[in-house]
Amino acid sequence: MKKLTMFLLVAILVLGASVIAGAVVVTLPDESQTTTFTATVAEQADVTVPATVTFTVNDVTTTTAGTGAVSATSIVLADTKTLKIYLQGDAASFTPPAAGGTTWDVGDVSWAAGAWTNGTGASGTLSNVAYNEVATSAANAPSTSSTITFTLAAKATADPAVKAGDHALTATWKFESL
Amino acid sequence: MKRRVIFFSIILFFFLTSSAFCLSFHIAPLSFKVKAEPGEVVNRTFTLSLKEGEGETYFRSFIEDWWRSEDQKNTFYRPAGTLKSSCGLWCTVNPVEEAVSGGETLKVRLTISVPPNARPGGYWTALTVNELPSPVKPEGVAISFLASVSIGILVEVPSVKREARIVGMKADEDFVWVKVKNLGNTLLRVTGKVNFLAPGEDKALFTSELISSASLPGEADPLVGGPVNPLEFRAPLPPDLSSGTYLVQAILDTDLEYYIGAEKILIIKGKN
Repeated sequence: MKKLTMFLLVAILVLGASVIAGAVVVTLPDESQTTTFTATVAEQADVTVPATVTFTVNDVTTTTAGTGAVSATSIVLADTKTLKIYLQGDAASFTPPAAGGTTWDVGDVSWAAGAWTNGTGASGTLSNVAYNEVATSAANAPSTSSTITFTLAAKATADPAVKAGDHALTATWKFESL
Repeated sequence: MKRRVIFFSIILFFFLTSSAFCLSFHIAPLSFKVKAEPGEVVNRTFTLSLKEGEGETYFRSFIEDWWRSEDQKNTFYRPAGTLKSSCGLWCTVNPVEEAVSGGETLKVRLTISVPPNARPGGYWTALTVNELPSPVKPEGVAISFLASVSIGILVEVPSVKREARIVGMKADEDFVWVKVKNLGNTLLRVTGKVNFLAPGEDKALFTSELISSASLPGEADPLVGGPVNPLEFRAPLPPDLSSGTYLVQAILDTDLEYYIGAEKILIIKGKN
């Protein structure tokens, strides 16, 4: 019985000593202990693009305007990085109402630099071989947005007549963080 | 008659307020920068979350090489493995195509397998997630828009050398252009500012930030029309800057442990 009691006493002493060795002894009161909280925030953004831009063409021999709103909000990027916005047409020309009919080329669509919130706009012409710059967000900007005015070029009267109906083109907005 | 009017009004209200007129989504992260040894396999996840109320939308994910034109205004994309310093062929994505409904999240798993014989340096490519076209076509003369997101992927295999030098400066009516040469073996991100001083003075009259924090390629790529080195970066002329002769200082941060700078006497044709 005596041996068991001695054994238990030694075990408690060793256990207590190891717990004490792993802890920090402070004299109360104490304000020296600190814990660092780290939040790892991924780069991210909310993006909104218009589904379509429609040109109401009442006179094919003059230019026609159409508008669409683009925005990137809740932008979180590493320090000084920016978000770039580009646009590229998916075909060399619009698809006319009837196959082989006269229509607009992709390069007949252009846009002005416009006024961008927290960003710099760039004027450009739509292309199907490269993404052309539309805007770059300001460094460390939390958001950037604009309503872009697109211009559809006039068709010369000497061309075969443009037929009334649906002329369609698809274009892709590119948001880049490269 | 009154019930019919109310019914059509409700339908019209729903049509006008539906999200068919735009596509909204949240994306994260916006870049992948990985340090990996030859033979190592690294996994990362890209997420795209459609906003509540969005209709079912199909997305395709793939890897492609990229570079920018010398004036930074255009970005070019080519199949993975096109460029000499591409890591596009090291990367796979899963899933390749998936439909996402409003309020749901697309999770794209990116796997990077560094070849055992990969040489030291930086290798880059891009993860692109494209919205696929809807079969519904608009009426009239119209452009249908799709969304695409391209996220830079940079894999650095030790040891990496970072070095850059300003090799030219010029000005036109709108911008000061600073030409920077990458002398290292990895991409560098370039940011900075341009100061405008009166000759003989030491205090800047105006300061303009570099517009783009773009990256530079390392060694020149043999692809004709491919990425160039050096690249030009531009800072807009301040709107209040008068025409005249200025000492223009470019101070750039190129991911090195120190800034690089250059100064030049330039004749500016300002807006005033």
